[in-house]
Amino acid sequence: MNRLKILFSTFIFVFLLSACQQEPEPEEHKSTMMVFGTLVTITLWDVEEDKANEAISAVADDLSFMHEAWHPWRPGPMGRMNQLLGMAGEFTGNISVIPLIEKSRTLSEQSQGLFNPALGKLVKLWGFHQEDMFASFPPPQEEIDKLLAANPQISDIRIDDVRISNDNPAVRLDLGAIAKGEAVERSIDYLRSIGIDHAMVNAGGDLKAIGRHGDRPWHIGVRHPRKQCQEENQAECLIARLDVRDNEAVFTSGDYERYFEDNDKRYHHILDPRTGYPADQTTSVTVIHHDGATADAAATALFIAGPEQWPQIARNMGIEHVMLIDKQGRAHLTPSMAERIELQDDDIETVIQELP
Amino acid sequence: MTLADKAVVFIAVLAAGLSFYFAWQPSAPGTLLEIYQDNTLYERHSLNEPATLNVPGKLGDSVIEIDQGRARFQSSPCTSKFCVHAGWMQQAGDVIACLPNGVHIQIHGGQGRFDAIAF
Amino acid sequence: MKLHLHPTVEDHRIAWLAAAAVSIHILEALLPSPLPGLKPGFANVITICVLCLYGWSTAAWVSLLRVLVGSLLLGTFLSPTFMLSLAGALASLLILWPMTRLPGRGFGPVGYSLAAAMAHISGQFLLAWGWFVPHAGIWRLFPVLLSFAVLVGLVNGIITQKVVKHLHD
Repeated sequence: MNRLKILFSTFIFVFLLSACQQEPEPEEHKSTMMVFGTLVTITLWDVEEDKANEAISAVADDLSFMHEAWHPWRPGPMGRMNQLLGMAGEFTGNISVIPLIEKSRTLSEQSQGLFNPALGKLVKLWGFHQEDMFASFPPPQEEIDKLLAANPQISDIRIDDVRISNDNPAVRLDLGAIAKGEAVERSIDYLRSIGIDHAMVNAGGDLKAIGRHGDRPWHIGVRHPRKQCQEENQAECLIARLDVRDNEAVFTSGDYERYFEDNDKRYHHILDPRTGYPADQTTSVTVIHHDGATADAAATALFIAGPEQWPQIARNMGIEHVMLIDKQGRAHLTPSMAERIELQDDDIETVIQELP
Repeated sequence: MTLADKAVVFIAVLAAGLSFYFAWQPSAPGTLLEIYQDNTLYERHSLNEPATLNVPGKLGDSVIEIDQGRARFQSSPCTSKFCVHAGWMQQAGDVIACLPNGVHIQIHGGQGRFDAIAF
Repeated sequence: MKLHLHPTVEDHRIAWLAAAAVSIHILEALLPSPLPGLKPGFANVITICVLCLYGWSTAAWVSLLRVLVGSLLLGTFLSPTFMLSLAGALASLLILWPMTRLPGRGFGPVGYSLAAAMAHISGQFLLAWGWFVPHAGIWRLFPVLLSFAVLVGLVNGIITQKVVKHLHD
């Protein structure tokens, strides 16, 4: 069969060439890393590859520096200050922590003490100062009572330039409810300072964005406080969705974030300074504010304030956008939040609450 | 035309008509693109986020473009460009594959991914 | 080394007809297509003509050579495009074989062309589904392509009928 021979010989001389095409630059740069004791995702839009990588690693470095500097019990500037606060007498504070303490003082006053960064000892008593390991049962009542009786307040600390003195030996600073906000704020400031206009920094579910994601705003989902879900079906565990505008931070405090269980009772990390126990009327609070640190402290303060008291505290702290989910699962919204947020489930009972 | 020819025409038209009925059950426009590399999930991406993604494959990088709720192969190192010529897809369930490169993309329905989840 | 070939009349005929089919195949490939697989398939006019005039095995040679040489010239050899083309051609030949064995007046060019076109697209789809895109979503495309195949098969069948008639006269 000549025909078959020719056919066969044709096969042998065939080679395939593959064409190569130039790859266009991706417009989105997204990088997730473990820093600041959590997963931080930095998303940049419309930034050149080299600049994006540089910016992301600079932010990562800054974040790990801040984490060490502001950690209440590690041997950094804040840890050192906590040691000195326990001794009588004046000392010189580290300038990397003083501005944050000043800011905390203002926010604590505005929150009427519900955000109380002077209760470092209480956090430690409960074991929530550790990142990965918690206690397995609540601390003894008398120890809580003793500490609360001493009434540590950040106003007990007097700051005169860099000279610091302390009137209350029970005061230890734990800026955990504001540090993440300040860190996100500074990260965004840095990105803006190097000419990046469109970015989002998400530190473990608390975030701030500038600019837009291309031709649309940044879309985010807000986790449902009671639904458990996996990474792959995030949509099912959301209570709401929201578009984040330029220069807005969205911070959420939830009782599902850090907790331990004892005798079938859940003890979470948001401690009410009035009782010394986890605040139990709220399951989550989401706030929007231009400043990350304010949003962070407010989310905590409003959580503790609960479904009755929160509007007044929000007014004091200058927070207009609030969503609070109470323990019955009702969503309390400010009118401006109700305009912005899109609840994912029509069955959720909503309460629109004007601020006083 | 013979009688047999006419029978073939009849069957052909009937088959074409029935195929619409059986294959076109309604399906919603998708919102989530799944990118597979060698049949393992490489990445998920919302169709609402315009993006240009490089997906490494056996032959080289495939470039997947996502825009206005649609997705396509913008370029592919394979010789046929079959996947590139397939153009845009946007319905849930749609798939485009570049077999030589071991890359395929598929649209999923339901809620898309977000830029972030607040918690 | 010199290769001695002794082509028969049959070889020559196949070569010429295949060359004609390849030309049409390549010209068609230059046409823009809104969807992969949406082609008029005029090359099949040749295949069906050959089937009517010289029988199934000659038609098989012409058809398969068209797929092979066409892919070599277009640079798609062994690529998915080639595989799909081959699957279509094989499916067409497979359905045509029993049809040519039908007693009586049997089928004419229209019946052959239509059956071949439908078998072609079905074969391609089965391959695409089973190998390239193992996903049910691909079948949403099928009705469109099948309807198109019916239309093309009918048109090509009528053209073939005229050509065959012309050649006979």
